[in-house]
Amino acid sequence: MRILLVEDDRETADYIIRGFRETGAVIDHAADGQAGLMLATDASYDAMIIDRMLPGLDGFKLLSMLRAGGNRTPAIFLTAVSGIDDRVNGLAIANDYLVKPFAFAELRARVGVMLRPGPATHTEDATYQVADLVLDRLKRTVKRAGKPISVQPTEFRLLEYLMQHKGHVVTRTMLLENVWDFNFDPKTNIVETHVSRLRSKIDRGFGSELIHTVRGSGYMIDDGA
Amino acid sequence: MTVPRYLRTAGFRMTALAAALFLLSMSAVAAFFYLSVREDMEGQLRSQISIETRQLLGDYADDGLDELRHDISERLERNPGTRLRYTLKSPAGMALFDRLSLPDEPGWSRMKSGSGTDIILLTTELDQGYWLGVAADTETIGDMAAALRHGFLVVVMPMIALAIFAGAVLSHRFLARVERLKRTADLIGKGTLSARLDPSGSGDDFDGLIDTINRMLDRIEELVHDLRHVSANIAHDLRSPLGRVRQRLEAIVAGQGAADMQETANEAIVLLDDTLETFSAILQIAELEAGGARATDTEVDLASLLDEIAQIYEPVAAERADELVLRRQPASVYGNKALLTQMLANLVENAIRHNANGIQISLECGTEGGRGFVRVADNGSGIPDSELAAVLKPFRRLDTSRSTRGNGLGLSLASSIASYHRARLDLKNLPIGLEVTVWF
Repeated sequence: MRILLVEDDRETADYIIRGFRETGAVIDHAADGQAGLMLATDASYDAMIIDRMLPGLDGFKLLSMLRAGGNRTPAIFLTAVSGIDDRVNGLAIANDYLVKPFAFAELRARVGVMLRPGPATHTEDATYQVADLVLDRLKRTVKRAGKPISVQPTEFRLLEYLMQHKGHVVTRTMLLENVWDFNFDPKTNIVETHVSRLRSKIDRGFGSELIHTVRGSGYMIDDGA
Repeated sequence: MTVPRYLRTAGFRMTALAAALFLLSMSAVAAFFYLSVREDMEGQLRSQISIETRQLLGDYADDGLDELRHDISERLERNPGTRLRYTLKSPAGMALFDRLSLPDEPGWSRMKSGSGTDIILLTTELDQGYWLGVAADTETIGDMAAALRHGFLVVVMPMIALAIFAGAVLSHRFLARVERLKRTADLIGKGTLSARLDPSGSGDDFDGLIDTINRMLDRIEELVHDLRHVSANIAHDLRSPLGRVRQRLEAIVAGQGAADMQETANEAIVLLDDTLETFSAILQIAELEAGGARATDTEVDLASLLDEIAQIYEPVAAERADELVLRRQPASVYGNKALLTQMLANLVENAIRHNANGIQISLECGTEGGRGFVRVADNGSGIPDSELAAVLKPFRRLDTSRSTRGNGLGLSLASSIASYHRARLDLKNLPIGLEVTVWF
């Protein structure tokens, strides 16, 4: 896995580089927009992490230029800019948007689902399957071991998101943003209660647990193999 | 030389200007009067001269030069004080009677008399090289002008004096008020924000201005008070968790077992996250209050938004044995869906977190009097009436709830989101519980 990091703050850059090297990824670093543009056009990367505020060529312009040039590499904006419209226009060209300060586990999880290596489920698939759990996106039904399970619309969206990223950790914030459209941190444990309800429906009474809690990071659904 | 202060005041300058304008117009009137009177008097003199000349020429035509000479002598004798003067000039250039030097052509002319006054002269050519001149002295016109000048000064000088006096008095009074305002303003500038300007009570322009300034001062005082309050609360709310973070780090430094160490470090991270989140909330409130871009606003259906919120919070409520009641009437507003979601989430969480378990929370939306509204009501403990207005201000948290997690910014954030949508957030205590209504 090869990642391009464009970040002008030395300490933040070191923190990110160290984190990704520990996971075995190759990471190139550019400290400003110009250098970032050069690297991005010279080599091919699996993912780009771009700070939005950079000296000279800013991150937004950098990615706009790359996109205009046909570059489709998954990119995530890392930014201290969290204005009302910033997220919306940032997501128009980037695949994800993470506001500083952030936890490394959050960034790793987000880059992880952007990359989706291996035999991943695709967003265009009509059904998602994990072990004996099948989610039909058109009929909006869920079955485990052939047995229909009734879920509410939000539970369906939650399960759909987990299964779309099976084998990858999804964080609480990712769920909030993608399942509930919450771009803020609620003060009640809505994620935990929804996940626990969903678990009680799809895991209870079946042989293996499919939804796992990843301590300190989030949740993951996989075959449990 | 220093100009006395009252001479530099706006009041004095205005009075001086008015006095000057008055003087100018008086002078114009006097000049017009003088000129028209002089013209009139001169006209009279000319007609007198014409009549006299005609009479003399009549006699001359009837009886010749001797009769004319006789006539003139007679007139001069009979009327020694007359203003008219006569001159008869022979072909040899000899002048008789008043001996004015006549011009060589007939008609009207002017000349200076021996005493320096103007003379108007009508010259007529007679037969055999004789010339007749009848003239009048304009001395009377000069007298009239002198009288007019004198009268003008007698009237105008006191007026100027009066104007200057009035200007001085007015500017003195004006200055005294300005001086009072200045003293008060200095006092406020030095930090006595409660000081207010004194209106005179006459209800004049000055009082109107003072009233406006006083209202501005009220607002400033309120804002400064809020600012102090907010800074104190920010300091308090950030110092407590940071202090606890410090304790955790100290425990780690003191050397705990590895397992405990990780636990302690995680606790420190949670505390720091809370602190960072408080900052985010402050920044968001600041951004909302500043207005800013509204590029992503769309038509938002309040009824379906309430549906979503109810679905999201239903499991949390169920866990606490709270009941969510939904009353939806069609209503939609133009706004930012993400922000409206956050506002409703904040209101619902506020009801959940600040009340004991087992309450009922009702979510309502609809249209009333042409205005869309959303309402979140609970049958919990409510807010003391005296605190209702204050809880919308940042960091205003009831002391009783200081122990619950959160930064005390939930309601003020909701209120900021409402004002971003030019909506009004109303808080009302019910017989039992609290009702928050946002009117769009």
